[in-house]
This record gives sequence, structure tokens and C-alpha cells, in this order.
Amino acid sequence: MARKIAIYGKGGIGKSTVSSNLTAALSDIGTKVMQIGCDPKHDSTRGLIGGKAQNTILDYLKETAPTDRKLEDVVLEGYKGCLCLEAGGPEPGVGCAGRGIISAFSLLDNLGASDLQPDITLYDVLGDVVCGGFAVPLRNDYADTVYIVTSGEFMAIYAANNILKGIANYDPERVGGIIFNSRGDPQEYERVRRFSEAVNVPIIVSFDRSELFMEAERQGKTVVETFPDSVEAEKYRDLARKVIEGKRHTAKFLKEDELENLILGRSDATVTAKKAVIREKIVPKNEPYTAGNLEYGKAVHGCAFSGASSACTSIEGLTTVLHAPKSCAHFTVQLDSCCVRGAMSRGNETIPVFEDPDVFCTDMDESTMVFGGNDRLRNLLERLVSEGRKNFVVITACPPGIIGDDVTGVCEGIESSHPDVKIAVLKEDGNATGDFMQGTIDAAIGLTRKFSVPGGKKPLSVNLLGAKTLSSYSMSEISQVEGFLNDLGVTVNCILPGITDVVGLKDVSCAAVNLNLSTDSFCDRIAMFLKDEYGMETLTVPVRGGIGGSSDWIRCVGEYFGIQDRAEMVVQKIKNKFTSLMEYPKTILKGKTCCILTISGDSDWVMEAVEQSEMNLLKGFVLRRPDYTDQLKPGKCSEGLEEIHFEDVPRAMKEIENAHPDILMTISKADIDSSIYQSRLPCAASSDPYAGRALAEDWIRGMIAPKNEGWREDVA
Amino acid sequence: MSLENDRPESLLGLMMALEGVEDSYTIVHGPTGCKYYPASVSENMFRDRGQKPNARNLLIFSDRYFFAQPRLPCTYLDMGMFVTGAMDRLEDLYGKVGSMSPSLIGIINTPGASLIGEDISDIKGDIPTVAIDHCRYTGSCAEGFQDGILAILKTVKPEKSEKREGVNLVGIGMMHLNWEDTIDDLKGLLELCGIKVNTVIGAGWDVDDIRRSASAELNVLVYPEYGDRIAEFYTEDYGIPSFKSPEEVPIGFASLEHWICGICDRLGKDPSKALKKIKAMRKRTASKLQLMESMNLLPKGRTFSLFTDGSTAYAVSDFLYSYLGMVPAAITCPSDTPQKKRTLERFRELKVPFSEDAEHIPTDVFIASGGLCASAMSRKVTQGTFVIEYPSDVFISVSPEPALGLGGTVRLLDAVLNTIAERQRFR
Repeated sequence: MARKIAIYGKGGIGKSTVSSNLTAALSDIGTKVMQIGCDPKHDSTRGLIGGKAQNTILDYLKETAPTDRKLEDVVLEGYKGCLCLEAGGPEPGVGCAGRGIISAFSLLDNLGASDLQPDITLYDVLGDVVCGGFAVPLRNDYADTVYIVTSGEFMAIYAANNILKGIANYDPERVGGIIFNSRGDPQEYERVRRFSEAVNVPIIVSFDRSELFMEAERQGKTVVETFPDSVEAEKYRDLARKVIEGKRHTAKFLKEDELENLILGRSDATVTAKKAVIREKIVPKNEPYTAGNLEYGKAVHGCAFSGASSACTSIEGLTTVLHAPKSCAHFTVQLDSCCVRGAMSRGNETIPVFEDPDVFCTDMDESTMVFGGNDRLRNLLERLVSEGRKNFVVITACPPGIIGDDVTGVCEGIESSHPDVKIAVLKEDGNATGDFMQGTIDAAIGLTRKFSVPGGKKPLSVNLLGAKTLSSYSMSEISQVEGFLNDLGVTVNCILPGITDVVGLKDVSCAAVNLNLSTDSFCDRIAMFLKDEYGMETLTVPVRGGIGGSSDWIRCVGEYFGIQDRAEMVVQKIKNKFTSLMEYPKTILKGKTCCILTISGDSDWVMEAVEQSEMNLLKGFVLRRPDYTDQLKPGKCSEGLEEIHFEDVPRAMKEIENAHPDILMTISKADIDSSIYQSRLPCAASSDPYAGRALAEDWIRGMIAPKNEGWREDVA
Repeated sequence: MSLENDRPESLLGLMMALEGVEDSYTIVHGPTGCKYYPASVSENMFRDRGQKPNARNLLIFSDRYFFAQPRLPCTYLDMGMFVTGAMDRLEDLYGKVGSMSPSLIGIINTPGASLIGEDISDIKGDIPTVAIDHCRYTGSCAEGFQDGILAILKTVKPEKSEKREGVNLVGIGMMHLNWEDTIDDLKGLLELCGIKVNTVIGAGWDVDDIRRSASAELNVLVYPEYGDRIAEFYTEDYGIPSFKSPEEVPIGFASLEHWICGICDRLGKDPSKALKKIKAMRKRTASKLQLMESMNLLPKGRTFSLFTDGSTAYAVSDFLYSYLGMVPAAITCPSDTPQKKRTLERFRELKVPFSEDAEHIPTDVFIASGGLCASAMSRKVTQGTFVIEYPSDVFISVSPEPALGLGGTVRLLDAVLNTIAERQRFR
């Protein structure tokens, strides 16, 4: 049966020498061996092919179109017909070598390497870092037996112990033994012997330091080929027999302190280092403007990459470059596209830039994951600059963060060679900085820092903070808020984190004050940033829907600007209109019973409509979802609603069913008696003072419609 | 400036391949950002899935993993887990999904998760499991879709069958616009020829269908880019031949006739009943066009733009040009496929000038996905649109709205002719 073995060991320990000599010894006895070097320095097979460097699989992957790839292009025939392959890796400092191993193996699978049918496939693997990529040969589909090469130095044994840990994570009964490769220290065998005993894995062969290895290497060959009669060659032939015999042991490993104690003879567990006393005043460099979504154990909803992208693409005159695979670009651009379609179908105005977004993607692919994406990003930016674009934002998805692309360096390089170009860099790295909302905060902050220019204050002007770019109601709601502000004689200076243009961004700090568009936490974070860096104040009352909410924020604006009388006039106008709008609903709804099941902490606007219609609220529940960032405190009208959690839902359903209201106002379809009319509540509160009236319309229609619709009889 | 990213790509194609198995559940091993959108696509595009309940509901699916959506539960990785791995969480979710008794479980590593290198194929249970270690990071929807189907076929191996009967439809998935209606339409035409559809590979099939999918006489390609490698697999491993229409996809009268005749020819069946049905629709259409001619409203010389896959572009452009006498203003096919090449070369050979920038060239009718159509309308690039690809702008459609077949041809005609008529009538 074909065997697969892996030779693991710390870098520089002699794995490749061991591997190539073992391959040579196996080949001598008629075994067909395929040796695959899995070390970025790609010299594993050199001794088998005359000392020459071999083209690596990853270079081939990078340079050859998928349709042109052939197995024979990456396989060389070496000593006595053995097959030699080198996975290779990226240049030092870029890309991900571990990912490279995965990509190389995947390519070999696709090209049908297994059809070469070697008797033994030998993987020669770097074992310093047993990360996911370098651990691939440990997987059950690959090596059936793993041999560990070590010297007696502590770091080599440390790596050996780590490799055993890695094997234990998969199928532990696959350790072939320890191959001791001496560095010449007389004490080291003893250290390896102690380790071998402790982990219960035998030393199956020991190689003393020998000049013959150096000489064979000079000739571009193995010792087995160059000095077949030497003691060393004989040891390799013995090792080859043991490999064929295939005896295996179970991987055990030592804890770190056990290992130190065993190898270094340290038993100083009681010694503790003192904490450093730092006398200088150090200001933490991490951003304080986080939305609180990265707390331990909390789910991160959506990704900051997507949130930042949505905010940035809504800004006119700004080119958004997504440093990401195409899949990330599609998933995030779709959100904008859905918004356009949603707004169109609802007859609302769309965010103009979403119709033709100036968005580009670096389309990171397999090769980029291995070799890094700096060049691809640089090339795309250079092309866009040459087309006349000047203002950019670059946003990163997960992969650039994981493979460590130097996005800031690339962008600074472009800026220094094109002085009229400005590039804001948002290193979101997918969801590394947080959720969707965090991305919008980061966009507001990053773009303001890059594009704003301090200037004189504009009297009677506000910045609107916290525009929700993906809501198909954004434009209409913002227009309505702007309309009320205009009634007060106040103008809108800039809207953050989107729905503006680059010129607007320049003037951010010129507004007299900020006004939050909702009570969501992301408005607060943007306001905090503007306060810290530009000294800007934010009004204490945010925009809210319903009559109470609207009155509060309009009065607050009036008070700030000293135009209370004007504000009171606007408030009275709104109140009168609402009272008049609710006259008709009252005639139908008066005395009807209702229950409420919502997730929004701000249900005042719903409760106002219930009160104005003179309906009787029987039961009300607010479903709390601890993972979601809802900073709202219930308003005064919402005090009658009971907070419940997911596990309380069945109980709430039962109570609602027992109460048997005329209407259930609910965020999702409740599984209750279908004769109770279920009116859909939006998940998010509206900023429209008259939003409750629109709900009342729905309640009226539910009341005048037949209790049970005919189609229900047709349900099988 | 490009709207190309608005179109589905390989990861979505891969997910939809796994989600296209009716009695399956697919786990997304990655952050929630890779889950929300495709989960909504899966829910919207396959509403009539057997498992209930299957609609977004905060009161049912509010727990972790599902996050209020019925499809594509997710391990919600954060950046810390990209360093440490998250096999424990994946195993826990795998157990939860397993307890829902699907016949097949898919696990897909998202782009970020695939860089960790966790051995997701190591997760095994009693239920057949397809683990996709890494997707194409940047690829076409068709490529991802076929990757997914081939991975399924590797796990749930179709049974070899001595008795072969009927055809399989290949190269249509649940990301295709109104796929169920399209399948019904094509099935109807084939039934008229006495041809039974054994199974539809990749769209709404279940594990039993997968197992018996090698018992068809012929694999018939619907959207060739989405099925050529799958058909090749069945030919190589099971000796089942395949048929691809010379006009690529079956839309437009001539294309449809060739598709039907080609299949009947391979199976020795009589196409006359199906051809008769098509002919009746040809006559009906001709009379409508005569009516338009009497009002001097003919589409001849009017323009169309296409922003679609190559195979759709080929058949639709041929139909609009040859049958209605319309001319292309622009044709954009984002992926480099032989079908794209054929489409563009044909009009070049005909010396019909056209642009490859359908996004920005004004046209009478813009034909694309719902998102691109909405964008084109709001940018006033066109006054009329026709949605032929996913994503659609229709939520539910009670009346059958096939994208291809005879119904698809009529649907296309209705939209194009009415747009042309509306644009000219009041000028």
C-alpha cells in the first residue's frame, strides 16, 4: 500500500538533508519516492537533482494560467527516478507561507499528483510554526506517519514538542519516531533522550556531525549517493528499512514548564517576574471610539469592512477601493444595490451615488493570498490615479489583515509620488475592528481626519451625525429633518458618515453644533471623536420619531441657538397635524385591544399612536437580544412594556393568545390564532413625527378586513 | 467605474450549489459578514423548501449561529479566532445542525477562515458532509457553482445504473432567476416530446435525486457555463453523454426549437408536439407585431443592451437581432468565457457596431439583473428594463415567470415590445 510520511523539524535542523538522504536510500532499494519540500526556502530536493534550485509550485501557480497548468511542469525526476517537488513560498515579509502550503497541495490534487502512484510520498516540512498551513501534512489525508528531526538544543526540542502537540490535535497515533541530528554538543544526546522518554517516542536513528554531509552538499548530491559505503549511508539505509516497516507511536507532549524543567533543568516555578513600573505617562493608542461589540463572547454582527464600504460609497467625489476578494466586494456592494432597489420600489429617493458607485476591488485571488496583495493594490491605485481620480479611501477585508499586507505603506507611497492625491486608509480587516456599525464609525473618523480642513464656524448650522446609508428611508427621513431645521432657520452643514460629498467633508468642523440622527451608539462615538479632535459640541437630545421625540429634539435645537419661540411654533404645528391625522383612526380603533411585541427600545412613537387612537394595550413585550448593541433607554411611554429574552418568547406568546387582542403589533410573525390580526412593526424606530399614523392606517385596514381570509381554506 | 461587483461571484455560486440540495443544511465557517447576505439569497430564492419554518423570523431563529435567518448558520468568527481557530464552535454548530436531521451537511470556509488552515474535513458524523476547505477567492458565480456541485458529487456518489431513462437538466441553480418556473417550462416542452426529466442537477434536488442522477440517458445543459464541467464529470465517470444547444441557452423561438430538436435527435424522440406549441406562439407573436407595425411601433432598429452571462447574452441578442430586428447598443459579459467570445464575435462579423460598456451607453431596453436594471433606470441610461438574471426585484410571483423556455421567450417579448411601444407612442 502506498505510504505517506512527513519529516518535521525546526528550520535549519537538517530536515532537508535527512529527507533527501532518506529518499535516496529508499530509492536504492527500489522504492518509488515522491518528495515534496514544504519550506519556503525550497531546497529540500536539491541533493536529489544535482544541487540545482527547482522551480516551485507556488511560483508556477503565480505565473501560469489555470488552463495551462500541467503536472509535469512542477515535477522533476531525481536520483534513481525519485520525483521531486518544491512547494515554495512568498518573499520574506509578504503574504502567507502557511497559506502557500495549502494552495500548493490543492494545486497538486487538482493536477492529479496522486495518479503518479509513488510507493512513498515524503513531505519535508518546516516545523517552527505549526500553524494551519504548515500543519496540512499532519492531516489524516496526507501523512500516515510523522518523523521528527531534532538536535539537542532547547529550541529544536521545543519545536519537536510543538509538532507532537500538532499531531495530537489530529490523529495522535502516527508518530514514527525521533531522528536525532547532532550539532556536535556532547550533552545534547542526553537531552534528546530525556525528551524521548518523557514523550514516549523512541529515537530511531542518531546522526553525528560529519564533514561528509558538507562534502556531498558541495557536490549537489546526498551522502547516500556520494559516499554509499560510509557509516552515515548505512544509517540512512537502516532508517529506510524502519520507515518501510512503519512502526508508529502515540503523540504525547509536554507542558511548557515541564519541558523547561526537563531540558534546561529549571524548577523555578515559584519565581515570578515583577511588573514593570512605567513612570512616563503613556496614552493608549487604541481607538476609544468603539461601539462595544468586541467584548468577549459577543457575536460581531456584519463586518466593519462592509459598514465602512457602505458609508464611503455614498460619498460623491470619493473613489472607494476595496482591498478584498471579489466575494467580499459582491456581498458589500449588494447591500447598496438592495438599498437602491428598496428605495425605488417604495417610491423613495435613493442615495444618488449608490446608483453608479465609484467602487473598485483588487480581486484578491489564490496567488495574492500566498504572495501578498501589495502589488495588486498599488497597481490598481496607480491606474485609477492615471484616470484622473484624486480622492480615495482604501478599505481592507479579512484576508489582507491575515496575510499582513502593508496597505498603509502602499497608500503613502502613492500619495508621495502624486502630491495632489489623498488616500484615507481604513484598515478594517473584515471584522477585526468590529461590526458593521463600527465600520461606519471608522469611516466617519478616517474620512474626517483625511479630508476635513479647519475653517470658521458657520452660524445656525448643524452636522447631522449617524446617517444610515443602507436604509431605503434614509434620504426621505433626512430630508424631513432638514425641512424642520430649515423651518427653524438652521442649515445642514455636513452629514456623517455618508450621504455627502468630498467638499462637504472638508467643512465638517465648520458647523456650529452636531445633531445626532438617532440614539444609536454609533452617533455618540462620532460625536465623541468630533469633540476630542475638533472641540465640537453635540446637542444633548438626538432626533427621534413620534410627537414626543420630535418635540424634544426640535426644542433642544431652538434652545441651543436661542430661537425657542420659533422652535415652539414648529412643535405646535407638528402636534396639531398629528392630532388631526389621528382623528379618523380614532373613529375605527377606539376601544380596540392590542398587544405589542417589539425589539426596539424606542417604542414611544408606537405607544403614542395607540394612545391617540384610544386603544387598550393588554400586553407589551420588548424582546432583548444581548448580542445587539441597542443603547436606548425606554422612553416614558414605553415604560409599560415588559423586557423579555429569547427563552421567554413562548410564555409571551401564550399570554398574548390568552389576552386575545384585536391586533398584535409584532416584529415577526407570531404562531398564534390567525384570527388575531398581526400588524408588522419595523425593527428600527423611525425619525418621522407622523410615523405612528402610518401604523394606525395599517391597524384600521386590519380591523375592516375579514377576520379569516379565504385562502386559508385552500391550505392543504 | 464598474457595477460588475453587483453580480454574483464564486463564493455565492458555491453556497447556492450546496443550498440547492433541498434536504441539506450548509454551515458557514466564518464571520457573520459572510453569512447575512447569502442567507437572505438562499431564503428568497428557494422559498418552497420542504423544511419548515423557513422564513426569517426573530421569534424563532434569534439564537446564535442562525441570527434570525433560517438558512446558512454561521460560526461567527472574529479576528481572535482567525488566530486561534474555532473548531470547537464549528463542532458545536455541526452537532446542532445534525440534530435537525438534514440528509446532507455542507461546511464552507469563508475567505478569511480558509487562511487559518483548519482541517474542516475532519468533522464527521453519520450524515454525509461536504467540506469546502477554500473557495475561489475571486471567480465567477458559474465557477463557484460547479465547484460546489462537483464537491457534492464526490461525497454523495451517484449510483451506477444499468437502466437509463430520461434526461437530467444540468447547469441551472437556485441563483438563477425564477429557476423553478424555468425548469417547469422546459420540463413541459420535453414532456410533449415524451422525454422525462430524471433530475435537475443542482437546483432543488435532494440526496435521493443525487444518488439516482446517473440513471439518465442524457445530460442537457441549460446555462452552459454553469454545467459544462458537471456534464463532463458524468460523461467520464458514468458514460452519460451531454447535449449543449448551439444557441447556448433555450430562449428565443429558434434557439428553443434547436434545443428541443437537438435533444430529440439524441434520444430518437419526436419533437413535433413541442414544435407545434412553439409555432403557435410564433404565430401569436407575429400577429401582435403586425399590430405594432400598423401603429408604426415596430422594434426594428431600436436598441438593446445586455449585461449578463455570455450564454444568456448569446441567445437573447440573437433573438432580439434576428427575430425582432433590434440592434445592440452595448453588450457586457463580465467573465471571459467562450460564450462571451461567440457573442461579441458574431456582431463584429456582422459589422454591427456596439459598445462593451452597457452600464453607461444609452439604450431603449436594458437587460440584466434586478440591481443593474434599477441602477440603469435611476441613472436614466434607459427607459425600459428587463430583469433576466438574479438578483431579481420581485419578491413573490404567483404567476409563473420562467426566465428561459417558451414562457421565458414570451416574458422577454412582452417586456421588450411594451417598452418599445411606450417609448415611441407618445412622442
